This record gives sequence, structure tokens and C-alpha cells, in this order.
Amino acid sequence: MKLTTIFVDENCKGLHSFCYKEHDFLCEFDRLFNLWNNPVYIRRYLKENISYLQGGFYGDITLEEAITEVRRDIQVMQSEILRASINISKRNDENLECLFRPFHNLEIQGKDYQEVKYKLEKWEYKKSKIRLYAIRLSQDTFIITGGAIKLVKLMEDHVDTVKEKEKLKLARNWLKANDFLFEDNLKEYYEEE
Amino acid sequence: MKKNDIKKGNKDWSKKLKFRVKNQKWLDYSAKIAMRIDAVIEDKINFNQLSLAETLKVSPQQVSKILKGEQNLTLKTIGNLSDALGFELISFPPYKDSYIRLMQFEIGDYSNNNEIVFKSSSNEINKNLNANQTKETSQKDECIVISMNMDGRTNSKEIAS
Repeated sequence: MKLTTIFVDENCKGLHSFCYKEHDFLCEFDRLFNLWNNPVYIRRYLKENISYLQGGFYGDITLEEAITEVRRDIQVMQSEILRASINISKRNDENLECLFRPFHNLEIQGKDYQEVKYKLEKWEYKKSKIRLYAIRLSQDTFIITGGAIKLVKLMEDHVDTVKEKEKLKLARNWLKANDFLFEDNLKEYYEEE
Repeated sequence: MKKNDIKKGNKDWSKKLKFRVKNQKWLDYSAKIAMRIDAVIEDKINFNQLSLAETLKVSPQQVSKILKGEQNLTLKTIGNLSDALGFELISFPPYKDSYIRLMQFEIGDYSNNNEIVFKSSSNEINKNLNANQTKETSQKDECIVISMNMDGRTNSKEIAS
């Protein structure tokens, strides 16, 4: 496992990402958005998982509608992340703190090594299908662990979301084991790399 | 990684994302074309991306690029792709001119093809039929048969003359 920056300020606050060996240490954030911006990948993924889509969690929709909704989610997320990149540490409603919510719905934001998720709010009664998962290291400092096209209500119900849950746990343990507690530790890490 | 790199962050990501946000509209068109190509190839027997490249006389890499949905395709390329696939990749929704009929008929009149027709102005007919309907008239015993194609479904309605 390695870490890389996505956008950070001089204090290393901002968005970071894990890079995994299984993907040749590509930045996970970059890898996901490249994949999600590939329309043929989205179409084939949804088609392969059509039985989950037909499970009813997202209502009575066609494959084409599902594709449109997923692509719309990705486009909005990209715009929001871009806005957050110019609002690092600013106290407004467009910063990273506003994007990420605790992974466990009933948890309060602010725990050490907190597992968090980024999903869009409901839009025209449509539930967002894209998730980005991260560890919140400190205020305004997040490290992306992965992401998924979530087709089921519970993460346990699909192999891909189960994997993402495991990645979150692994990332949390890795950060703990390597004493990353604040953005300063990240700064030292990058300087040593 | 040097100290300065930390400040800059991942500039590649930022560039890519800005490009995607700024060019969302045409990228969306390109993505829709890519997905339609993928679906048509899937339905064709003994036809794949390589066959498409051969038919178009382009490299397989070129086809692969098109399928990534980030190519600003020219109308010529879209036309060539449609021909190669035997499938129209783009179509135009009907607009006002599509509903203006140039001839008016009377009930009982026969057109040049000996078809029995309505007594109605084109405006009235169009008002009663939805935008996507196509209409035909033909003589069938003592009835006028109107065939309507509404959103892919075909209905027919018989009116005694």
C-alpha cells in the first residue's frame, strides 16, 4: 500500500488516495474515475449485474436509465470534488468536510481514523449509485480507499461492496500501524518517499 | 516525492477533471455513441471490435479510443460507423416542420393512389395524433383504417365511413 496526494494545501490538508499493489500502485482515486468515465465499462458492469438492478432497490428502471443515472452521479461528483479542491480548509458548504459522511449511518463525525463515504444526496427522488470510501485522518484531510457502484441496500449483498468494506478496514489498520494520525505525518511520509 | 510536489498535488487529475466538467455535453454524446456501438456489436454474430476496425479501415486502437467515449467524433466518422454497423447511431427528434403536412384532403376523396382519405385539415389531424405517430390511410371494405405507431406500439382504429 502506498499513499499519494490528489489535492492538498501547504500543510498537507486535503484529499489523498491509497495506491494498491494489485493495480500496479495506480492512484485509486484516479483509477476509479478513469473507469467510471468509460461508458462501455459502465454499460457492461450494469448489464452483468442486472439481477441486482432488478432487485427493486432502485425502483423500476431500464438498463439505459440506470446508465444515465450512474453517469449523471459521476458528473456531479466530479464537479463537487473540483469545487472542494479550491475550498480546502475553507469554512463553507463546498469543502471536503461537507462531502464525506460517516460510513456507519448513526456514527458522529470526528472519530480517529473514521471510515467515511461520499455519496450524492437524492436527486429527483433517485438514489445515488456511486460511492467513494475514505478514511478521515483529521479535519479537512481524507484518504480515499476505494469506491463502488452500489446496486444493493446492504454492502454485504454484493461482492464488490464487501471488498470495499474490507479495503476500508485494511486501510484503517495500516494507517494506525504506521502512526498516521495527523496531516503532519502525511507530510513526513511524502518527504521521505 | 519532493516538498514542492506536495503543494501541487496531482495536477494530472485536476486537468482531466476540469476537461470532463468543461466538456460534459459533447462527452455525453460521445459516451452514448460508444455505448450504442457496444450494444450493436454485441448483437451481431461473428462481429467484434476488430471486424469494425477492418470494415472502417482504421486501426483497432482507433475503435478502442472511440469506445472510451472521450473522442470528439466528426459527423463523417459517425456516418461511417453507422454504415459499418448497419445501424443509425444518431437520429433527430421530430420538430415543428415534421408536423406540417403540405396536402389537405376531403373524406371520400381518393388520392392518386386510390386511397380513401379524411376530411380534415392537416392541423386538426396533427393535433389528434401524437408527435411520434405515423399515419397511413387505406381503403378496407367500408372503413378507413388508421395505423398509429405510438412509442413503438402499433395500434389500429377503425372508423365507419
